[in-house]
Amino acid sequence: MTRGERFVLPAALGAGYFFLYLPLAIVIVYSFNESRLVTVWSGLSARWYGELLANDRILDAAGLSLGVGLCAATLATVLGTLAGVAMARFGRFRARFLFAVLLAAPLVMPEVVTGLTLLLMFVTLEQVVGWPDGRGFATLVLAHASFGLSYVAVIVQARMAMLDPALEEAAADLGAPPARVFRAVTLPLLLPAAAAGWLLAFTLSLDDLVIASFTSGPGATTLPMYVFASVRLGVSPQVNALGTVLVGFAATLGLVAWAIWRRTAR
Amino acid sequence: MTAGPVLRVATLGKSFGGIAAVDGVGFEVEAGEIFALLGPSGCGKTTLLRLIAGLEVPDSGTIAIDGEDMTGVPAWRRPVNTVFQSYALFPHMTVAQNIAFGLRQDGLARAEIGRRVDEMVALVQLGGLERRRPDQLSGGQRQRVALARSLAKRPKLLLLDEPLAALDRKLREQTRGELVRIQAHTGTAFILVTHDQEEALALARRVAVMRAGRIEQLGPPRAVYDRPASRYVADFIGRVNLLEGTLVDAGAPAAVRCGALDIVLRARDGGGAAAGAAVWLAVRPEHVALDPHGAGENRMSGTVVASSFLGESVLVDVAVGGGATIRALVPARHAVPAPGGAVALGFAAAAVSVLTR
Repeated sequence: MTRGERFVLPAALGAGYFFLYLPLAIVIVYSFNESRLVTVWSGLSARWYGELLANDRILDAAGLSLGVGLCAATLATVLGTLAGVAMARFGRFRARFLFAVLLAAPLVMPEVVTGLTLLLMFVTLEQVVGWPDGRGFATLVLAHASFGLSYVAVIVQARMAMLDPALEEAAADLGAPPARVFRAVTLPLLLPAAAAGWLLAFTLSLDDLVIASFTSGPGATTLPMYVFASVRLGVSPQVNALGTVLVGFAATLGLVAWAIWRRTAR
Repeated sequence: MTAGPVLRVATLGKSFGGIAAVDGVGFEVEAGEIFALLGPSGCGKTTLLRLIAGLEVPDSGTIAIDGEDMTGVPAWRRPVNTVFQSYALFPHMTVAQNIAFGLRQDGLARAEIGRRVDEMVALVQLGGLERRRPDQLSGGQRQRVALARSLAKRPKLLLLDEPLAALDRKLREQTRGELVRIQAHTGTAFILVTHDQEEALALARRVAVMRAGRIEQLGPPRAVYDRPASRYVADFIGRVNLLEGTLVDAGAPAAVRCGALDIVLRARDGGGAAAGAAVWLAVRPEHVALDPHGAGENRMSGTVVASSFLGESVLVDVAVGGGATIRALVPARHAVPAPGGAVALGFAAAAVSVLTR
């Protein structure tokens, strides 16, 4: 290693981390600020965390986000796992290419487009079949599940490609019909991937602002929607406290997902 | 059904993308025998095994197991079990759970399953490892778990796909003995797929040599080795000297004028060819003796070109004129002339086969 590398590489790495994490650090530090003004430091305090807990609208929004996240991630995991297995094991079925494109589309489609098309679909459905009756929890769950399942399918398909097809053949050879092969062999081996996919779909649902704004209705405000709306009226230090809680939550989920993946990768 | 073959395959065909992997194959396997499918990779032997297991659907032909037609029956309803080349042990189950898997599919009582698992563990000598997972076992132990798992259901026919290929040489010879012991104990018929001729010859009661989706020759190892049906079989199984010539006398012994050497050599018989036909002579290097031990009806002299020491024996290449080289495999305890030295060699007519293809 040359002298230049010894100094330049750590410096570049440091600058990268600095750029990425300084804003987060500022939010976390200022969440413990005593002052009502977001940008003026006046002393250490946890008062904004207290006010956060007393704010019913924030708690309602958090409750809605968690509920939508749980339902959407679960739905996305079931459908995404089936799609991933189909992609990896069903060979060259008819319209496989079309299926692959449709499955990957939400990963590359601009969120605004996804949100708008979902909104148009929900409105049309309401006019034609009378369901959904207005927009709210159900439409949010469907919207989040529809893009979450793409992420789950990608993860499951990758895991499936690593599994020896002889494992499923051995189970069939020992007398297990296809449904039991899936339940006793394929599914247990896919479980870590499905769990990682669930966590990712849950996190994405929790984070989403754009698609939720399109597919939600009056009275159903998710946490990102609440934060975005309140910031427009001026930043309250409560938002810093809320941001810190969310960072902690997301970091914990990320660590859990990583731990699951690492345990099964060995 | 008690009498009759445990497996009867007739005119079986399977092609992938227009290329025939198995092409009109037919044979029978008797109850309790070890039958080897031998051939290089790509000859269709693994596809044939998968067709018998029900993991591939044949394009044509029939498969009958124990007298019952199984051609359209899916793998999970066939009374055969398979030891996969990769062993395919379920990584999320213990050794005992792996062995019990097939028994649980049959809905046996818990106590009966436990008894059968113990029996299998004892048979393959894995006592004490029942609660280990596959990634905590050595290669040889995994192989034995795979064997126990597929034998637990007491199939009449067991299919083994390159069962020893993943083991190192020393372990392979040891495991070969184990396979024979276990096969004799259970009386199950084994169909063994292998590219290793030594493995096939050592284990099997009958060997089918495959080439491009077809069976080139089928018979007991000794017959296939001593009387190969074609140059392909002679060359694939063991080492062989092949000499081109014209059949002069189709009697027994036969006479063949060998073009390159311009001499007449004696062979066991005419190999079914008529006098005047173009034929090949095949003689194994171990049947060629060098002076002063040389003997037999066919004698010639030449020059040692090269010799390689193989441990218990020495492989000697002798140029005998006309551009032909004859290899002799002589015991290492015999003195071998150095390269460049003149030597006489000889082999008996009984050791020479006449091949027409």
